[in-house]
Amino acid sequence: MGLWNKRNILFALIICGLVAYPLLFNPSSVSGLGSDDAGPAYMLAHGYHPWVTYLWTPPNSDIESGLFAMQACIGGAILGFFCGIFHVQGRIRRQEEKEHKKVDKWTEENI
Amino acid sequence: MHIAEGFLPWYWCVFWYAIMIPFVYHGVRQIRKIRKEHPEMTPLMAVCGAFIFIMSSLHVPSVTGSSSHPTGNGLGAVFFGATVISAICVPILVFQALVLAHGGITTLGANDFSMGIVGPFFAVAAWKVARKYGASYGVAIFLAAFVGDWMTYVTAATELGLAFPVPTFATAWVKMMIIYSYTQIPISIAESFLTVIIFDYIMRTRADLLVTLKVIKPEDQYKYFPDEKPPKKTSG
Repeated sequence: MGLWNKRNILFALIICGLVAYPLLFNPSSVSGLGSDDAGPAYMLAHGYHPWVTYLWTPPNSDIESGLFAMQACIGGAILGFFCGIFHVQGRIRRQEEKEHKKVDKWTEENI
Repeated sequence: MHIAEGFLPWYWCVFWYAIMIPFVYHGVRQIRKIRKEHPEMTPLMAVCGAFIFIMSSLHVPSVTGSSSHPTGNGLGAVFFGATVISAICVPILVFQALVLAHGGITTLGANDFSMGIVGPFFAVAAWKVARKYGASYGVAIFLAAFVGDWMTYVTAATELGLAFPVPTFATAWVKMMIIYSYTQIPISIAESFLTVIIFDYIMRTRADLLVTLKVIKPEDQYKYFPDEKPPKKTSG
């Protein structure tokens, strides 16, 4: 039974469904304000004035999207690298345990 | 939950920083201790940090009609404890504030309090309660991820309600709860399913690390590979 068993495939499909549904049937969820922007927008509408602003902001939304993608890529590279290490370590560990069992069995039978 | 730069009055910024600093200090000490006693945990810590880093960069549309992003704080909190996550979140939030203009340096204390302290603490509590009442690892980690994510946004809504109680705290809080928490429910569910898959992967590859961290019972590390379970030693 591997990682991609029926249960995990079902979970992956649910994740895809939860992300895809608003993209397909509720486009305002993408084009409208995100919750991070809606909170400040509510405050601005009720007379709040920020007392400090960002030192630097991305010049346009394309660059902003690119920077977010870069962040995801950096995180993905780190995650993938260490998951790869885990995968190899897990295989080596299981192989070693098999070898030990063989030696134990041989010892039991012959000594 | 990233409260933008300048959207908290200065005294609230000071207040949240004052709360954050002891947790982060303890978290850094915990990270040092874990790495010193168990250097083999470093990759797992990196996985948890990278998971938060990725999750907090993804803008996910919500079924409720807005968009937000997951937090990924439940997984690491269950493995290493909440204060470790409070320390891990600081460089992530600083990166996002300086490079992406998302969040802020003045609001770092408040953002870390919601994403790195309250969310993870509730995640650990959810994990412990679920395990105490006999829930499987899958169910427990699902609940921990869900509660950790959702409570992050409940806290952010509360922070903004406290900072801007217009016309009243209750009205502002309800409004912020609708903006943040309601949107977050479907996203939290999606994140929780993903967390279950990642947890499952770690169980299959390095379950021994989870035993060392006392996340799982020693006998459960062979759950997926029963053939490899060492035979019980017989006396004589």
